[in-house]
Amino acid sequence: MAKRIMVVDDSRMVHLQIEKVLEGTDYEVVACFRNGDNAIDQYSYVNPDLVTMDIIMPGIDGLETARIILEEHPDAKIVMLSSLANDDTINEAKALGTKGFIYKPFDQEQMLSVFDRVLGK
Amino acid sequence: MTIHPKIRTVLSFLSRLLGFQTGQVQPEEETAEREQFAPAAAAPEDKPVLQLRSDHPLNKLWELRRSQTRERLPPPELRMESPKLKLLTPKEAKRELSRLQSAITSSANQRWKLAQPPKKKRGEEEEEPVAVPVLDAQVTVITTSGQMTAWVLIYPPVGDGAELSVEMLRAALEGSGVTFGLDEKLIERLPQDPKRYFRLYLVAQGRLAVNGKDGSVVDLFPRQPEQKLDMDEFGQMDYTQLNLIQNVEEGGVICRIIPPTLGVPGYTVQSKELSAKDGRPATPPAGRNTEVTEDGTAVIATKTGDVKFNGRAFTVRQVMEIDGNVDYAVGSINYVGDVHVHGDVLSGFSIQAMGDITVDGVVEACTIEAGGDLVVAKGIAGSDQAIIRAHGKIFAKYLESCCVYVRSGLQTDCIMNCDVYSDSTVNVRSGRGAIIGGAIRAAEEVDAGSIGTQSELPTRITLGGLPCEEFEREVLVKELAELEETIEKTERQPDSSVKLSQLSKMRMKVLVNKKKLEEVDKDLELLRSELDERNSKGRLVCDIAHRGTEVTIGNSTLRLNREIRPCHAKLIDGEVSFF
Repeated sequence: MAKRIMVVDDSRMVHLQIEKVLEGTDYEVVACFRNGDNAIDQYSYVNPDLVTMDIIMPGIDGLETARIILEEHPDAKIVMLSSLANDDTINEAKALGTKGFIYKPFDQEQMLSVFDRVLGK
Repeated sequence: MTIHPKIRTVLSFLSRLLGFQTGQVQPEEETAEREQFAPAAAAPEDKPVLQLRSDHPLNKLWELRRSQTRERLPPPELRMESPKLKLLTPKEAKRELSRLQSAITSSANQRWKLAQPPKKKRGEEEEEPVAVPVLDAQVTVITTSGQMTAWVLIYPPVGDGAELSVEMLRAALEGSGVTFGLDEKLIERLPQDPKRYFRLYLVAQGRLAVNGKDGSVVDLFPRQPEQKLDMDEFGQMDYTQLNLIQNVEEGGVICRIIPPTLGVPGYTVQSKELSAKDGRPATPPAGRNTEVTEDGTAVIATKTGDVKFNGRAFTVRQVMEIDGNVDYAVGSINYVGDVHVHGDVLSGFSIQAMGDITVDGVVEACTIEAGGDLVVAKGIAGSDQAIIRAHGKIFAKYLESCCVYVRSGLQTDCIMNCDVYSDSTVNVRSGRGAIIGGAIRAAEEVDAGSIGTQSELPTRITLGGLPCEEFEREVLVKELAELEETIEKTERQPDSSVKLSQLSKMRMKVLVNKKKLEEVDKDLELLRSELDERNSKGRLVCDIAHRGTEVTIGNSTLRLNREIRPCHAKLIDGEVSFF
């Protein structure tokens, strides 16, 4: 059975790109949210196996969204996705309990490698 | 003997005045178990008073009392009123009296029957004296529905019965289970009160439950700080006044948490507890780099920085202060908080920050990306190389020869030869208020003083659409162009293995990017198909639109062949229309 992926990114293009990248793999995008608030509210309902989380979003940023989701769902597996990747950001993401970091622009190989590692495949 | 009704009335009045019986005795059978209250019209409708007919058993008992004692006794009055009454409105009291009237009548009837001398049996001598019943005073305790008030109605003694005493009152109240909220002063005073009989007295009141108050948060920093720029009499805005940073020191209090209060239970007059809800605690809005104090009374900053509210919680973003320019001494910046450059940002450098970026000077040909807002107090002179990106708002004195992407709106005095992509609005009303050349794409509205020039410099305005996605495409196109230029330069260099290797890599990258661009174009097509509603909202507002200005909304484009002033344009029936 395909693993369920929830995409949180304010860019519609990124939603489409991730869907394309995961076509024909063991991963399936089941929900896309364009801001942190909706992602937090709907997480329990979607119950994904893994979340990709953009860092810069309107309203709550991705790090804060990840923190809140992890507080409410400590077993959540969140992978941060961003073009603003420096050591401080990555360290902060790690300290929150997120499981990985993917740099934008991403490709299929990079994404699948991180997903496989996080989900223990 | 028949007495004239008017004379009867006078006699009745005189007898009351003097304490004599009228001599008129109503037959008992007329007063058996029926409601004996005067028609409602006799009493004021809003008053909690029950009017008694003359043949009501209470009136008979009153007559009996007067005949036995000759005392001046005020007539019965069933009035559910008291200066101390807090838990019943007059309307509620009236409803209660109506509900209780049959119980009161029944108890009065019972008392009346007990007060009657026994009927003589057959054979008893006529001359033998009639035994007058001896009844002590009687306390009738009445509680209203919900048991929140208790009243006493006291019947006087009959014959040589005992008068009302404090002990009788207390015994009756205890017997009825009325133990809470007793009016002790009344209980002590009532036996001496000349009006103690045939009236209702409020003897106890319960206490309503009081629910606790919910906890609350008192903000010491505004959640949405005002980003107001004042225009002076020359129409100029001073962008240095736009202070995005709300400073807090480590340990500083960001907001106070007011704890909830406990509910206070109530009690009925029968000491039954009425439960009260405790107030609910407020959720402390503690986000990144903040924490709740140990005693839970405040949210404080765990780092020095800039306080922001993200819609759910306060966070503190650290601020990197650059005292001078961003140049070779400082280098490019990539920071997780806010950046404040007190000088300029020179060509060739870049600033990326997750928070706000404020530049007090000029931004030259460089790359700026702000996760929050961007303020450039003295403007951006991009030399066709600057890429400016803000996920919040952009405030800049002017924009010249740069590519700009903004999510939440752009405000500037002048735009010259720029590619602007705004997912919201573009406002160019202050200062010069002009858009000159270039292409402006705004999802919602473009509002400017003037667009284009008298020399008909091409100026394109596109409303609606997908500015954000088109910007990403534009960045890809630029990267591709730069790659191809680099390939060209490398090809001109003398042959070497290094050159070959570099060329190979770059050509591969070009192929990959071209493929990406194809994919992006397909995605854009897919997204555009969802766009009709968004397009219909796009609006252009300006004082003057010059010849050569081109306005596109959706699939409709109109190129102005004359000056229009003022100019309002939107999509009507699928066509760009001016009105």
